[in-house]
Amino acid sequence: MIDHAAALTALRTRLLTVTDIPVDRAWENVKFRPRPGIAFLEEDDVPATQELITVAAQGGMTQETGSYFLRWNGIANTGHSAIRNGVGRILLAFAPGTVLAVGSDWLCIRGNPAPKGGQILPNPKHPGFAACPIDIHWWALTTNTIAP
Amino acid sequence: MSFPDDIKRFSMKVEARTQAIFVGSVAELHTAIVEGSAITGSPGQPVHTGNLRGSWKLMFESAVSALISTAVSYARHVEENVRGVVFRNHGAHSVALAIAGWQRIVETVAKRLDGGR
Repeated sequence: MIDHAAALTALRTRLLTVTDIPVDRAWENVKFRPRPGIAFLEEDDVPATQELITVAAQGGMTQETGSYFLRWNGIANTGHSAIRNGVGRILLAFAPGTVLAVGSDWLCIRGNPAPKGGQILPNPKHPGFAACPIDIHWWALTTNTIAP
Repeated sequence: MSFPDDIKRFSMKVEARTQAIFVGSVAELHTAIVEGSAITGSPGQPVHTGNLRGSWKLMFESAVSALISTAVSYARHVEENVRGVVFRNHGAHSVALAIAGWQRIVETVAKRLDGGR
């Protein structure tokens, strides 16, 4: 099974290679309060499925999937460019087929469905911000090890 | 019994099976969104009053088209896990995860029709 903590670290590391992303970030399970007038980024890490795809269990292969959801929260009523361009830069960093090392394993960004940005809509919980969701789905093949 | 008859019978069988896979897969997708699914990893719609869960509708528009929808205004906030939303159960991103798991859904439904072979 993939090390999900390391997988999240790998995804974040990749995210942090993107230029000009918001400095304020709401990381998974970390208390966060947005600052008025300062754009921020939210993340949700969601391991999804795991399936043994070989007949042999011990030492066999499992196929795993997961999703990395982001939300770019830009300043409300300032147009679409800043948010849309920023989301575009993130999508380029997570192009389908991108492979990220996770310890001795790897994960690969899926192409079906491929990463996508959504509609920019007012953030109902944080007035003054408009949010654009980003959906990134990945898969991985790992060795199945049965503990003694 | 002729070769054209055999082909015709085979075509009807394939068409029936394709339709069964389509209907079963769409129904499974609806379940994945609303109740959650181990096939896709989607958690299902959180329940408090039951309004959101009960709002998701499945409608077959034609033999090859179906629509899964909700008219609840806060469904998006739940789906995208907008900060501040409180989940008493289940969770967020069910639609995205269900869609991402569509191929697994179709594969699972097809296997069921084959009797698990």
